[in-house]
Amino acid sequence: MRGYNIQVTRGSGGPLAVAMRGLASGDIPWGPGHHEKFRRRFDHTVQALAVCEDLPEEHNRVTLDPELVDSDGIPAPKITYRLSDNTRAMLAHGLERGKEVMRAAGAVEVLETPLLRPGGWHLLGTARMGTDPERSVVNPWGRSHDVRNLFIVDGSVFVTAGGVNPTSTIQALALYIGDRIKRNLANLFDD
Amino acid sequence: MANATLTDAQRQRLAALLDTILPASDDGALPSAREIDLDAYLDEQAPEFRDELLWILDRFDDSLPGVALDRRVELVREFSVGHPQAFRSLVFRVYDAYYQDDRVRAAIGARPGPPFPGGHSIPAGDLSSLEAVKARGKGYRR
Repeated sequence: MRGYNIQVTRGSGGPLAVAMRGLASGDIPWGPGHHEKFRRRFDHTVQALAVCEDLPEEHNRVTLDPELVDSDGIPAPKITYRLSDNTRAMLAHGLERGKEVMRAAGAVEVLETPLLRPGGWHLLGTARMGTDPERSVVNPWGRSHDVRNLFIVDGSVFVTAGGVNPTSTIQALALYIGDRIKRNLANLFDD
Repeated sequence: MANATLTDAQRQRLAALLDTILPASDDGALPSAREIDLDAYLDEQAPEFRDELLWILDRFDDSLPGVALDRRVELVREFSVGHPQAFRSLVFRVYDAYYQDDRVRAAIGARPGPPFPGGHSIPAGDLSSLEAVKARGKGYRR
């Protein structure tokens, strides 16, 4: 089992987010019972999220949809994503540790959401960075192995998903690759 | 104005529907959703929802405003089962309008900034908490 991160956030969004999330989970009903439940949740909630490092598993991929096309007939991307046993084990482990943390902190009620379907399932990888053209798509400074004037600067160059939210890493990669392009301008497209 | 497009009967059904989804709180601190200005909300933020709202209102008959809350809840629940997508859209719009209402926000203690009382407020323009980050220098490898 590889690593994951428990991300603790204060509150759980503004009132609309709290009400809608409560509606989806069945925890805060519409109708006569709404206000009492809402008051118990709003401004009285801490969340612990297990953010897991999905490994580069071949069953997770992006392909061209065989049927769905846009108005110009161009196939839509089709995302295939399935939780591996490793990721499920991390989520289960993180859920238990999160509940321990909450109880130790004095929570009066602990709710759990094993799989947060509307949560941030970040789409990362598929154009991994590496030195070997047989096993990666871009080189260590983001240039495509196959198309030398193509640079890929986004979350697709990740080798694994990482165990944290990815934006800061994507920003760092953008700075890093931009810097590499600038420094290697004279021989940018050489081998 | 949205209500200008509604008949009197539709307007009464709308009020009953709003009062069923979010009735006033028992202690009176929170108003019924029928008391908020849904019309202004739709004008400003969700004009595209008007047609769907009319369609929803026409799924109920004129007896709705006259029945007790418990029975209205049953009727709305039946609608939610038969038309889950439309019901979710309706509830989202009602909640969105309701929780932007000044009286409601004051009653629930909603305010801009961190959600916990006395916690971690940062004066506008004060970037001093970033000093430690800036002092670390660039973190990526060259």
